[in-house]
Amino acid sequence: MRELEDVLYRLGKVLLAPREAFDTHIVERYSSALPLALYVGVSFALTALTVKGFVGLLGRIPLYNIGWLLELAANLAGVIGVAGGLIDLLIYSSLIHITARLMRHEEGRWDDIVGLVAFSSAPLVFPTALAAIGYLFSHILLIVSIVLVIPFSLWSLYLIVVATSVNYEMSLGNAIVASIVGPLVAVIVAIALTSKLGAVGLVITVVGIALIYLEGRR
Amino acid sequence: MGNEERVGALILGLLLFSVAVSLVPTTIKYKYEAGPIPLPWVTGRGSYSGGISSDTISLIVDMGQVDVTADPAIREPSIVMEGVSPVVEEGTGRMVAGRLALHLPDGWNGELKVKMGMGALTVRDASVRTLSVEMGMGSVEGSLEAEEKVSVEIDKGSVKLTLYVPEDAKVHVKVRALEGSVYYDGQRTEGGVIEKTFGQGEKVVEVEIDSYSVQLDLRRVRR
Repeated sequence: MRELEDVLYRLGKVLLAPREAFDTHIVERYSSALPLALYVGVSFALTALTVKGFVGLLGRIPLYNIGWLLELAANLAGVIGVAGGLIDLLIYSSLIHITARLMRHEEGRWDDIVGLVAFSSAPLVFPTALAAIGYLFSHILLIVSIVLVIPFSLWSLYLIVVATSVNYEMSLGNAIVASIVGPLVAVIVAIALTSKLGAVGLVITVVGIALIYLEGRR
Repeated sequence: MGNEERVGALILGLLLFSVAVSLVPTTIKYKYEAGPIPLPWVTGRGSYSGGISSDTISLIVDMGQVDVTADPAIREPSIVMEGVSPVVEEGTGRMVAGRLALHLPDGWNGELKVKMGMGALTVRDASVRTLSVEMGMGSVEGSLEAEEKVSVEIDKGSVKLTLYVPEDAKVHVKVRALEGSVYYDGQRTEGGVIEKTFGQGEKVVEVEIDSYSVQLDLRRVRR
């Protein structure tokens, strides 16, 4: 019972007092199991409900040839969402970590920022639950919930900024650079190079980031 | 229990509820028809052109435009498809999305079945023994000559057909629509549900149309 209370306390604290929650997570050396479970659950449910909802809308139109394919994709959507979400989590956390190191912030561990970024997905539970109600009862509610993902993602992004600030012991301004500007620049460069050079462009981006990181560590 | 625990319990509860609901498969919630033959959908965009000699021709298109035209210059039906995954097998032309044109010889006396998810079917002076159309959303327009039966069922859409029937035949018409009208021999019948027999004769042509809007013009021709 004590463990459950602890879990509930940590979850609630992320929304009510994120700085304290993230600080406790690092200092107490909690495992990343709880944040990852939260992240996987949100990724699974949100993707599955969105895709199934749209397939449901299309389901009113009989697709004689590809109906089976849509149905298969809809039922696999959650798994695909989790896979995509985990890849996104690892890449995003790594980009934050690299940017923080390049900004000469030597504190903070990579596995901690992975856990904290995962924890920051907590606000998305609300539009996800609304999407679940929409999936069961009303497509309009489902569409509203998908629109609501945008403001709740901004809340989640704010939590990521706070998490970066706590993990790397930096000001909020620097945390914005490390968690938003740095990764955004990397993504824009990756998209630009990939669109010009294909897979080679992506490899150049990854190697380039690794070289910049190693050079910065000297 | 403090505020943190309460909010934590709310988050955990909502998360478990969302995951549980997201596991409800679409097959239980929605009953839509899946194709009986898995298409080689990976073939992507392509085209097909050739004969389709069969007394019963089926056209199964998920999304797109289907044109059925009479061509006096040909002796056997031929089909031209351009779009995603065009496949022809045993009198059946299938396509995921795109444009399909079916050319029928003058006086063709076969059965034509069209199944479309969404799109438009246009018939230009084609001649068939029976025509059956099933469509999710879209329209059926044009003119055709039918000898035995015409059946059109559109979930959401409109039908505007000029139907040539043999002079010595009576026509059983069943129309179900929000707005329906049938013209025959200068007479106009209107209504949401129209069930009426027009003309006299030994031969019988049956016409059943179910759609949002139906405009049917029956014209007698001497054969």
